Amino acid sequence: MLKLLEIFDNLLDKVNIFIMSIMMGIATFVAFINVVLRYVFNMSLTWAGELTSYLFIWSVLFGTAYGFKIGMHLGVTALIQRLKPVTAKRLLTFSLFIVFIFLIIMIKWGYDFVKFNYELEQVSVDLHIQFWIIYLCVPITMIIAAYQILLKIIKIIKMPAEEFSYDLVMKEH
Amino acid sequence: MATLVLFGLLFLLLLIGVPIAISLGISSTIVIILYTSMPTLVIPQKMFTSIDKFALMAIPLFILAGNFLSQGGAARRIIRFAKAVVGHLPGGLPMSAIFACVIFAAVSGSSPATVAAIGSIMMGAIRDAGYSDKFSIGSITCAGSLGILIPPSIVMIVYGVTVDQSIGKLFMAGVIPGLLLGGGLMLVTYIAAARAGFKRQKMAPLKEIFGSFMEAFWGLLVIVIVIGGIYGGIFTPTEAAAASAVYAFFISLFVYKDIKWKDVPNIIKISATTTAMVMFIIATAMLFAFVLTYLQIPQNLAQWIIDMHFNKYVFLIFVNILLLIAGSFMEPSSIIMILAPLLFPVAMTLGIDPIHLGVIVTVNMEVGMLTPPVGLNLFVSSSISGKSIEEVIKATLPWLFALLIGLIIVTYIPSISLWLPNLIYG
Repeated sequence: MLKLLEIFDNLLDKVNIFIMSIMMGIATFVAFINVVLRYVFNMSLTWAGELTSYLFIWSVLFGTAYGFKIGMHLGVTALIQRLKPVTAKRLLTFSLFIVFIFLIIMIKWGYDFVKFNYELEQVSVDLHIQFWIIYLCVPITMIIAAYQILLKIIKIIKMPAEEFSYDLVMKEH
Repeated sequence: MATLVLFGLLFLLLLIGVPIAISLGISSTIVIILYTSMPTLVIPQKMFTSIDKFALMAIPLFILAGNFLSQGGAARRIIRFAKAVVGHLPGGLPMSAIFACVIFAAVSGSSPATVAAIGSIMMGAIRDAGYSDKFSIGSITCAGSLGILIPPSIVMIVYGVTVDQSIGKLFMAGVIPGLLLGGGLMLVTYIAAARAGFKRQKMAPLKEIFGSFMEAFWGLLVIVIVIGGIYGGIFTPTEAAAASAVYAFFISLFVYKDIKWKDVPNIIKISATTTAMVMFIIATAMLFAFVLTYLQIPQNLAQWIIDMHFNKYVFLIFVNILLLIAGSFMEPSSIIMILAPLLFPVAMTLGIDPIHLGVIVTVNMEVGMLTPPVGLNLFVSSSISGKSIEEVIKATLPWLFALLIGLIIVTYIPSISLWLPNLIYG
């Protein structure tokens, strides 16, 4: 069972990294092609701006989810670093729990957001893609983010207080 | 009451170590639910639309360009050129490092990235040449902060998008203050090195200056794309960013050949995570700014300042102090997103130029990156040099002092910032 979870986590990270990188790569390429077309061939793709933006946003949201795993989201740790390990551990568990609740609520609201747009049936201006498809990235990435925080909470609870350090819990590669 | 809840919650969450982006999100969300009748649908919508702006797409593109150049050996070539030009003066090596930071700042939009690119090569070299840690660490840690003042600049993009000002103008306004501060840092190094009795070296032969320039030429061309492209009105900042990202990729892979195809996915991955960090903060900070505006806090603050009969100069002192304090605790993008909407309306009523305010904010953010507890440059320097944060802080003091003097000059002489953009945009 544990083994299976480990395989799942690895796969999740790989997919996550793949999506955020490939979207960024394509977005950069599209943005560049549009510049070239505009200045060299004096024509431009109307949909290029929109495509670039949405690809980058997908990349950003998947990057955000992955960021929770590697502890990339900066916080003010001055207090936690200064406390005794036992107290610091309790405080960080508490704040991780708050983050977890917020992310769970964001999943719900992200889903509402998609559903609302699904019912509206509006399409984007240039690409003519249904908006709800574009917005799908919100609930999906929030689910991944919440899962990553859940793993951190399990990890910190299992960790003996005397071994506790902020970086040990939050930063992973 | 709502104001108190908003800021109280934000402060409390930050204190217990909740990430900045999440703290902004939670405090805004709670105020929206408690004190407004808006549907919760507004929250994901505001967050999504706040990063759905074409101007912001310059951020990932500039980050990508910077990463290709620093991993691709452009930094090394820029250093060689800088050494050839200023290496013969007293304090030649640290001077070259500062000069290299100024040049690298013009191809990269981030301060920690500049410190990492130049510091990882130069810190060891300066120490080996017999300089104290002060010279090796202090000079680069401070000079690297120019990364956000000399265009391109991620911080200026965030400011421009937050208060709806031309990013091209902001970029141009950063050029002269950036050179001024760079010059100031070099002057401090010159005086300190001359005092410490470091001898002049022989001047590099013209052949070396020319040769190293040709070596660095392809990397330096990014400056022409960015500054020249925007200056000449050819590119918008986002277009310039797209062109420099692909250009940087191309020269690192095919001209300098320092990176291989197999390195590309990792460079994109690193860039994507950095981008995500900045943009996620922007998403929740925009929600926060939206709540601020809804509660009319900026308007009330502006009214209060007017009622108190504060003049421009007193207000600017207040702005500097506030930003310096905030800069010690938070990272630039989040500070700008929280404070710019507050300060902007007041500054406008007092007749401060919005572009000049952007430069003042940026210079403050530079200093903020050098002051504990949250100074990103300090952490980068500490991890590169292997010295403790305390030692790094001590080493930066003389140069930090020079930056503070520069801040005062830039704050009270608007024409330093505004001359160039006015010349270009009329």
